[in-house]
Amino acid sequence: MKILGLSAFYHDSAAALIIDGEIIAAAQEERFTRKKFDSGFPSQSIQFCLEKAGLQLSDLDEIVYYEKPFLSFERLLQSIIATAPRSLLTFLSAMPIWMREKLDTRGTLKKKFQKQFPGVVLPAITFSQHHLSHAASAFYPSPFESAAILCLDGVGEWACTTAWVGHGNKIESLWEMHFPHSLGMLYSAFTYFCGFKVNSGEYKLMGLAPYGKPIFAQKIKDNLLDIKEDGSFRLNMDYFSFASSLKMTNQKFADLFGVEVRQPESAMTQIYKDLAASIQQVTEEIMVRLARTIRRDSGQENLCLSGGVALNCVANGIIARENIFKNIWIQPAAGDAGSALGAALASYYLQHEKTREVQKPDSMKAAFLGPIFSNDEIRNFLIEVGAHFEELSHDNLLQLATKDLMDQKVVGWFQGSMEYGPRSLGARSILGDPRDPQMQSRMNLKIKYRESFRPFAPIVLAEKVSNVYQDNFDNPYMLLVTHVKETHAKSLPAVTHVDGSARIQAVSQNENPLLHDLLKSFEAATGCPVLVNTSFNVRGEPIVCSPKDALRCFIQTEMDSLFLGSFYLKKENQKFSRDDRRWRVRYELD
Amino acid sequence: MNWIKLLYPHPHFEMQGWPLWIQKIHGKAMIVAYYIAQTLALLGLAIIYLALIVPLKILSSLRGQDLLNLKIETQRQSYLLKSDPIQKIDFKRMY
Repeated sequence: MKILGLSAFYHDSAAALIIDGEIIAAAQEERFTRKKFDSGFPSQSIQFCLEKAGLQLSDLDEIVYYEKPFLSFERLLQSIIATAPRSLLTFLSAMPIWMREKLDTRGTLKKKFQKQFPGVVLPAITFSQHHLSHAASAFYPSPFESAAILCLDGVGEWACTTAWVGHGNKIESLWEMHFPHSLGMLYSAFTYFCGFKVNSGEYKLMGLAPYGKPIFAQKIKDNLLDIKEDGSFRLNMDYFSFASSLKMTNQKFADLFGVEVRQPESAMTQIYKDLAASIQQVTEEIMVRLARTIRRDSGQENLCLSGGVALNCVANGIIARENIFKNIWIQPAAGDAGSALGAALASYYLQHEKTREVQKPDSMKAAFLGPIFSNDEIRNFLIEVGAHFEELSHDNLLQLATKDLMDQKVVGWFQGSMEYGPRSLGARSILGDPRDPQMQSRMNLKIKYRESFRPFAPIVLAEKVSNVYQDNFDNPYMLLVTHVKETHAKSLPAVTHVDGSARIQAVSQNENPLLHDLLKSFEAATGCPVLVNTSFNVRGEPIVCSPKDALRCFIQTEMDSLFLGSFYLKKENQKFSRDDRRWRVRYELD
Repeated sequence: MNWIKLLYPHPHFEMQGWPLWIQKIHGKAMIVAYYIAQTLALLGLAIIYLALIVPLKILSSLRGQDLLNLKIETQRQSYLLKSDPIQKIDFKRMY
């Protein structure tokens, strides 16, 4: 049975294809259109999924959309009525889009498919539920026969937090919390207040938190929300305006903290750092309480996490350290892009009642579900554009990459299938030497062109994690934060945050053999089993997808060398002109 | 906020059929016509808001309804809501 899952028309559109329950392909539309968080119809992602499987659209048995549009519309209307007359502008801005394409999503999808595949008879279009899609994306690919499932995000139709139990091919619902009482919205409100973009700047707020002190945590709990012992809460909407307007917070919110909304790109003062630390602490407290509640109510010893809030790897790390559950598995595409996969899986197992076979370590194929380019394709491209390159054997590639890294060079690493989800996991990465004290600021300011406070994540040989870090979590997707051991704190300055934390990715031989070999080679040469890993892009740009994207990013930044498949490019040998102002024109700041 | 951006978050002129011909003939006149049409549509929406949404809000307020469950209930043990059984979800429906 061939099912295509879609997430679209809100943010971060994506498509995912499963055949008889096996995940074949998945990709976010932004990677193809080069528009960050592209919310349009994912035509290129769909095309990629079909091509990878060698299928025509008519070969599909079903297309599943990730949520129920009528229920989302009901929530929108009810919010508008409840907050009238303040909701006038929201009504005027939302209604045309809803009337034009979102209300009749089935009709809109049919039109889009017919435009892209003229004359093709469409398979049935069905609709999952937003949080069910999240839950399915978290449970079905997990290595667990049974597990508790916790989904936390901004908002789906009505639900913002949901709890489920998965057994075999079944998922049963437990409890939920509804809009506007949303942990995702609360975190986004502080993201907005601290001058970052909602739906994209949340991870910056998380990275900012260790620079501050949680001095406002009690004030937040006393004024902004009422938290119960079980982790459920209600927001005091006197301080928020997201239910009625285009802003997240109001003047009363600003007055509470005695500071105005920070303007984007303005100086980052201590009070915003303290606010970031405070909301992070409150978020962690709520997540831990909710985890304890679902542990009690489900009786399960395994936990699956999904939803945008599940990308808060600091909070995830705390849940893991609290030992509430024996095992934790987090969907690497935990945001709405991952719901495309979840929608397809939900339909396959719940609607069609197919049997499920659990796979170890999971069935996500290490999240390498996106486009792959052969050496022939890369060679032809490089010849066509006149790049100066060298073709390397496997051993030479490892040798040269190790040498460049030891020479403190910043290395572009483009290998194999692109990642599905927001993290670069070693297929589209920029690598560096973590021992270099200058590496963080150099990468931030001259390679990525982003804020200097933002930390970088380490990739570590899976078998050496416990040598360097305090916790030995099973952490292949960079979704759990741990702390570096004191003995290594000073030796890894580029990947150790100010509080000693690190968002590690454990790289195993089975899941990424080439990157594992590189780490081994670097360790053999230096004694250090760790590298800096950051996404292959500049600020505001989606992670690179094709060799063309990678070469453009390589040329326009101060990256020193690029390993593009088996090909090695040195910056000094290239004849392209570099104009580092171009990225600012091309990509809006995130 | 720029009112054009507010009213027309995604302005585009990818027209087909007769609007395309009119655009070719009249150039900017079509753009003006587009904005006039959109403005009229928005005025219509504003009238709907005043005639329907505002009275509904007044009615719900008079009835004491809390449409979004905004009330903070400090005496309550929990705000968790029992979920509907998953069997109720019909994949064929948009609701």
